[in-house]
Amino acid sequence: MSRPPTEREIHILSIVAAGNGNSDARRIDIDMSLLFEGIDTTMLKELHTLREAGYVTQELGRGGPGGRWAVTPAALPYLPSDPD
Amino acid sequence: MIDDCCHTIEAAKGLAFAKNPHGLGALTAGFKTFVKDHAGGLAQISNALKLASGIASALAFIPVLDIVAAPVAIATGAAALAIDGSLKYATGQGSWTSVAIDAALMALPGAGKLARAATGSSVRLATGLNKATQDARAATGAEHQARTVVDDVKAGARHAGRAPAERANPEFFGGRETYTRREYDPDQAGGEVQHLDASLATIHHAGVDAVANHLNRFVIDAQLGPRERSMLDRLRAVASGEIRPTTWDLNFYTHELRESERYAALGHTTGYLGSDDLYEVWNDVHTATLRDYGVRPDDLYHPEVRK
Repeated sequence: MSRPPTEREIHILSIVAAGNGNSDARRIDIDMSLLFEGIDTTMLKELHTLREAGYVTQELGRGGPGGRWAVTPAALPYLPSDPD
Repeated sequence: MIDDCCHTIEAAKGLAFAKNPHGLGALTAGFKTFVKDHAGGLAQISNALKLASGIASALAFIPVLDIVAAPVAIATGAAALAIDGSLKYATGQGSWTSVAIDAALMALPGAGKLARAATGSSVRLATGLNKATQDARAATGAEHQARTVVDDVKAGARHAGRAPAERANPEFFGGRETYTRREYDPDQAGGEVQHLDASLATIHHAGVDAVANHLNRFVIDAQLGPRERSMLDRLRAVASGEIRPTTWDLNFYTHELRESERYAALGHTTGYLGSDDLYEVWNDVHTATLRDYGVRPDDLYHPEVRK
């Protein structure tokens, strides 16, 4: 059982989900930084942490700095738009 | 009685000197009078010379054209500087600080490179630019890079010459103490962080094209994100005079140009920047550029665009 995402991580998951698997780490970084300031790491590291927790997947080879990212089913319960 | 005579003689001596200057004094008085009488026209000439100098500066980085453009840029810049100095001396109009900064700019990297182009000298200037920067700027795309270098250096020098209280809108134009805590590698960011001021930039079509070219280097199919497209639309409207530039427009414009400059300094002068493995490079140059202007990421996008 993976740990629940933090509030900040839930916002990241929302942005990743909105990209429908097409958003790269740079795009996610920019979108997130328009909403929240204060990260003292990099978005790619945050995404890797979420990947290790099982909430996102990374796709390489399609282009986009840091690869393309998508949410996993494990993230869906935490997304604000999720009906559950 | 004798005292009265002495006073009268002394007064007369003073009057005679004031009304009839000679030698260097006559020359100085005549010069001041001329400048005062023609201050308006001289100011217009100075502005025209500065414009010509700017255009020639950009052209000076194009092979072949540099032979003519570089001396023209230097000559027109020097002439404008002389006029500005004369106006300040004769009329008090303007600022010695501004004149001094303009003079200093003649010796800064952009103008220094012009001088080098004009003379063909291979002497490297002690500007703090590393070898990658020098080589990259000598490569293709040098016209755009040169323009942004000149603009950025100019803005940076003027920023340094201004007291914080004089800055128009520190909330958005930089100067934030905690503008970003983003992690990055300053040694891989294409040069040291400078202290630049976006409020001094002028948005023009060539610069907007350069911004668009830079942003399109991150995408394969030229399909920019909606925010970037909207910001480009705003910049084009500003360049066309349809709308007045906001702080966000100037921040976005200068950020992207400066970021492009940093990429070039790292050797990424042309080509695709959207490879999987280039996130760290982007993060380093992006963060350093935020620090250059002392802004946060959300200072780059107009509120209407962020929706």
